[in-house]
Amino acid sequence: MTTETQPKVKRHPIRGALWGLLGGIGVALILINFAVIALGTMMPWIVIGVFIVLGILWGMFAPAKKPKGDPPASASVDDAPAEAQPDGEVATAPVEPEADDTPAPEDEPG
Amino acid sequence: MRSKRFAVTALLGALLVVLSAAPVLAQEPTFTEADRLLAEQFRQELEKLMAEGGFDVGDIPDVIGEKGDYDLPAGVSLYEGFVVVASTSTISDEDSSSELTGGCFGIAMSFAPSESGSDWELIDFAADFNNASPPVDMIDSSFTSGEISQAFTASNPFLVDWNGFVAYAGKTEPPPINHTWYIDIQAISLDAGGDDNPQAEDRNAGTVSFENVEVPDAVKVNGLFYIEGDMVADGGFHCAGSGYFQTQGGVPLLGGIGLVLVLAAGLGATFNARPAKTW
Repeated sequence: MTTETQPKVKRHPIRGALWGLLGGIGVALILINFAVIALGTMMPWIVIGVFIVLGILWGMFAPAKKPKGDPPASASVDDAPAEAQPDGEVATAPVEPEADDTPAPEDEPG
Repeated sequence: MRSKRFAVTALLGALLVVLSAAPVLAQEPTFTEADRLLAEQFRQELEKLMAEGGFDVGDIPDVIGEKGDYDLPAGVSLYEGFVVVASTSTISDEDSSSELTGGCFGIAMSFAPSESGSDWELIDFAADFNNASPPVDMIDSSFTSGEISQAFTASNPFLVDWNGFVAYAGKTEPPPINHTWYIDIQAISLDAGGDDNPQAEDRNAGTVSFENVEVPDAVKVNGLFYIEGDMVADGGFHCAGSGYFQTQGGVPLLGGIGLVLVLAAGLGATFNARPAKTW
């Protein structure tokens, strides 16, 4: 069936985990610096682990960025299953387009 | 000057006697020749560092505590207070985060440059002289009320200044023949060593000057650390210790790096890891 193109949501759990790892290390270092937790105990690892989980959750469930550009005129979307991306990311089935149909703002820095 | 030096020697010797004679603390301590040698070695190390820092060595008693200091009744010396602590008090609410078990006893005194920078200030003073109790904070403890503060804990870490030094004296019972030892942070070795110890020495004293430690300034970071140490020797000798220490006077590098990482992670999570709709 051919119908109006609807956006897919591409999720980034691995990217989220990596940024969470980085943030967790940063928070752990700050807490060690201010003597809140100690290097040599389990606490820094727990902090890092919590931030990795938060990063994964963020990469999976954070509000999705709007698609760039205009949708293609038409495309086949018959029961499109979720498909794994080469970098481990997950693209899920199409979602209903949002009511607000304004052009997507540029989220990327620079 | 001579009387002051004698006072220092006597004080330190007495402290060491207390460390090694917990069961008989209530009795008048007796000095052995080894105690005197250890006290003398400790005093010489301390005086050398004081002199290098431009400090009048004649004032050492002022640095390590005059009578009446540290919540002692006026006229009671640190040594006398020490005996009171050792003989009458135990830590009621023991914190498992610091301990020293086995036949090891010792004291550690941490010094930092004073505000004027011309002399040294005692910033921490811990001792363990009782196998049944963890290390005691000699500054925070109230000798008069018997409220004893545990040293080397997460909430009361031993303070070390990167521009200062730590003077220490220790003793083992029995002498550790053919011993090996290590100090770790998170299973990463900070230092390790060992000795056959054919002379059966059972005492050591000295100072560690962090100002002269040959490491880059960037490594001298402020932070809270948990260390573990262990010593084993022939005859089943085993001594283990663990506790927290906090560094000061260094660079806040960990906080700076942490802040950069947090900012980078925030930007990355916002612009790179957020789910995106695509056509």
